[in-house]
Amino acid sequence: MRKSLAIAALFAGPLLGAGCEEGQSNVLGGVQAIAYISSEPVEPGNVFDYANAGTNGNIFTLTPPSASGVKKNLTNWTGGAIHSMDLSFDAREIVFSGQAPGEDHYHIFRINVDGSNPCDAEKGKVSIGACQITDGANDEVYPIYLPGGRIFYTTNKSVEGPEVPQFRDEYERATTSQVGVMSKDGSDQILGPRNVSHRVSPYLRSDGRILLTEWRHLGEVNEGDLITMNQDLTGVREAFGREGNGITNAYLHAKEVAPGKVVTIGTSRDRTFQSGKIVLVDLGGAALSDQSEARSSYVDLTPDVPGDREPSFPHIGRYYDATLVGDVADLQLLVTWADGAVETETLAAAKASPDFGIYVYDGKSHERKPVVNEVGKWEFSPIAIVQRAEPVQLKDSFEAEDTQSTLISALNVYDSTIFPNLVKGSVKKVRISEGFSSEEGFPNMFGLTEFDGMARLGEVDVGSDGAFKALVPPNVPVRLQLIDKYGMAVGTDGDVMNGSNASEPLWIQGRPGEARMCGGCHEDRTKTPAVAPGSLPLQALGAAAFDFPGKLRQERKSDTYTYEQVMGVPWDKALQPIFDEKCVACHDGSAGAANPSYSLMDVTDMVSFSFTFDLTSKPVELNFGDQMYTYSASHVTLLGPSMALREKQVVVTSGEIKTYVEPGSARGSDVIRRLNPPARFPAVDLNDRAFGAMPQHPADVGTYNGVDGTRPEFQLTPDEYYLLILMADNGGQYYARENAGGNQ
Amino acid sequence: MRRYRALFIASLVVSLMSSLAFAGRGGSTAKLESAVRSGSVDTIVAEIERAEFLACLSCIEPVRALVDHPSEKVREAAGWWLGRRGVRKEILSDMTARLAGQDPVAARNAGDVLRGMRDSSALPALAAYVSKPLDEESGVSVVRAIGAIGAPSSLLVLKTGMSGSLTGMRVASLKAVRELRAEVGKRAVTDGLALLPLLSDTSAEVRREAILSIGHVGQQGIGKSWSNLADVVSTLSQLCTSDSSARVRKAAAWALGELGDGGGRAALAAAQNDADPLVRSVANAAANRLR
Repeated sequence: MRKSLAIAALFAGPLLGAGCEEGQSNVLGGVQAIAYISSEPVEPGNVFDYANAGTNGNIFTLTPPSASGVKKNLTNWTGGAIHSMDLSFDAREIVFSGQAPGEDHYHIFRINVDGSNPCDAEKGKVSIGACQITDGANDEVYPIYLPGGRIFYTTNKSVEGPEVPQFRDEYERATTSQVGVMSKDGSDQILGPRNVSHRVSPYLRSDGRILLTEWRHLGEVNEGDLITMNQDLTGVREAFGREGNGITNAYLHAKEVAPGKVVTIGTSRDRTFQSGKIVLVDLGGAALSDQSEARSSYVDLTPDVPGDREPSFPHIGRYYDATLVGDVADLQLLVTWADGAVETETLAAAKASPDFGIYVYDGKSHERKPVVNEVGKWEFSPIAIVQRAEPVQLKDSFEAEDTQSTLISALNVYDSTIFPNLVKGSVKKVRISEGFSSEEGFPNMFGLTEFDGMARLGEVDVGSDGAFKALVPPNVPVRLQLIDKYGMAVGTDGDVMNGSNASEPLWIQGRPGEARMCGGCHEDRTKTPAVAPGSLPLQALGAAAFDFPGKLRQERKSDTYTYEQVMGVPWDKALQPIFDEKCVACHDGSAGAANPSYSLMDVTDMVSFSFTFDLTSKPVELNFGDQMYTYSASHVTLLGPSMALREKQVVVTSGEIKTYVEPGSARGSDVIRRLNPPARFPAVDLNDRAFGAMPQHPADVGTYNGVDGTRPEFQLTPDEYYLLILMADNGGQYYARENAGGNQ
Repeated sequence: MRRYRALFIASLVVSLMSSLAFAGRGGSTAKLESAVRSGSVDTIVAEIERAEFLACLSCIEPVRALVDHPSEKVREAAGWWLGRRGVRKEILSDMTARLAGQDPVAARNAGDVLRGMRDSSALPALAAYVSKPLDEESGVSVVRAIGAIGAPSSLLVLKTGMSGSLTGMRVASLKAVRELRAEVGKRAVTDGLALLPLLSDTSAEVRREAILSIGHVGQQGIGKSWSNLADVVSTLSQLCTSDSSARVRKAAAWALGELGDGGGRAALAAAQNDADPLVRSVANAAANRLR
């Protein structure tokens, strides 16, 4: 730490300290005025918290943008909160999200930059102050103007209505924010298809596409990356952060500096007041056809600023947002910055708060000049009040024909950047599974893994050309997995013993009537598929019907656990009967060759734990290190305490600890390898086994304790093999809709 | 020798697993304690979340102490974390016992902790408290816990809260209705009929929350199937144009837009000339939604 501070001090030389200097001249060149939000300091929560914008917030203009400029309070609220705002294309109006005085939700408001009421003006009246265009029992935040008099925003209202509350976040705690659009007068509200976690911080690019931050949570993926979508909430695609190109865990407040280039704030999920380093991102090229996450790159404009949750340093601080003013070649950024640690624990211990103010930052010289920073107040989210060109109204997504469901299709599943070594002919089906979180009446977890709730919607055949198409419920996040002839997510390189498999590491979704048509499966996004309207890949005709028309969300389940009908895999209902009938004659928890034991010691707490292989339904309270699991012995046996072990300094004091199911990969799961399932596509073939010459359990052991493992009653049926495979491929959860249990 | 080799391999495996770059990992007792000492609500909640999968006996007591932290956010987060630990039953028992006691602060804190735990086995104790709350603040906390658990059967308990004498509990009960799941096969947990009496409550806050809940359960055309839709629209129209509270008038305008019934047009037209600018603009948006 001391060394880091010393290095930081070396870099601090050219930087100016916080605070305004009286008489400071306009440092923004031709910009005549700026608008900004002023608020009392607050702990805003993690980067996705949207309902804690502090108190006594107001929107100000500063003319000219200098310390001696004239400040004008546009909103004149007392006791309200302002969350975020945007400036209209003609620079005359501001749309903002705020919690009006006395209210308990954030809604969308409009106000002219001269402080007058634009809604009344449209009716021929003259009045002062903001007008409100949304109300109700939910929050609407992050409004931005769209072409054609529309507004994009995010909200915790559910597109699927009041049947079930909105999705919860990756910790199954906070209510997520999702996307929506509406007319400027608040009418014609359309809610977009949902991500399983949050979407926040949108920005309209000059090409008309919306850039925003999406929290990606699928299994052990946990990060806030940049995505783009169309103005009508269709056509979501990744922009930056994944595929090995990122620098921090989350990116916020991305804003375009030139076509194909954006600045964004890179930071950790929490403890940094939603602020971090300024990152200049190249999305892959100026033209959309050149842009793809795989081709993106970045330059860290503030390398001294920590990208994680560690305290920053004097004169280094952290940045809340950054936006280009002037020519991109000059790289002059209007920024919100605070000096010092800008880390919650450090500052709270000192009973201090960061002091965010507005500065101009030179991206080349790294000089920072103050614009406005009042003591005891935060000034943030500055916008230069200048006109900008209104982008075109885009409607460029593929439209599915003859359906109001979402059509998912690919021209050739073998065309993939993340699975480049797929063996031709190895993919027999595409499995499509719906994702959800615990708001449907589940406990705080779905089982011993990080995976969300899932329900298999179906598996669709892949043609000889690698193409497939299927209808899925609109607005619902789904995950795609390429399936081999054994019913497992296919290996990515032809090596049967390689557990990596071709499962898309993200959720995708579509609007009613949208065709989410890809060239391949995570193919090179610079290769735009050439598909004419009306062509076969866009027609519902011939698509597998996994859309469950007329079924409500909680009704998308099955109590028949066959290959054809299984959706969720409730452990106690779908799997335990298999164990009871085929396995527990040997694997009953009695220590021995069939039931190995292990003992662990947590060397930090000196707590020991012992467990014996057991596939019975006996409830187990696995109390290792006081983390409790109350699942069946079979679930604890196969999934193990692996999540806890990642956190601890643990030694195995006897036996061998083994996790028999690798969540998300049947192919990589020891239990599946031991069972060595048979081929089931195009037809069941007991002589063709997934892992070749490997033994087939239980026949491989012969007789044990008087039980003959070669007898037919102990052999799994093809459907039983498949249920175990589906459980592993979809994350190894204990709970599914079929055993949610919370809807009494 | 073989024993040492097994120990080494196990440690190596665990060490490799630990080094994977998962967001939010790396929690410890010391970090939790340090966060608590700082007094920062954000830091405490962040560290509790980071310790999501941390098996940690020595963390139990520091987190258990947070059930009586001054911040309800921290109390809720502590409940969430403790609900995943071996002390879950003990905490459940402790919290439900508090609800049977005579200390309203302890009961309030218990409600927040149980909200974080979201364990439906606490519902009977929570329901009993709703019928005999020690004070308004604790009653609100308990009602919020019922909402967070979200069981559709809790509607009956919330109706008790709605009919109680404590204004805050009536408000909280109406909010909690919006958290309940519908029974499987139904589009909403209730209809406008159950909430209609609250529209004439003496408290403007209660009237407003009742309106918001009616708009919530009647959205997306669901209200059009209600047998009493005309009564609901008529009452909302009256509130929209003549309630003494601008916030009530505004909420009523919004709800008329959500219900989408043409019967609300006249009231919305009138409300566009309301003295309050926020009522005017929300009524305008709602009227445009009825077009």
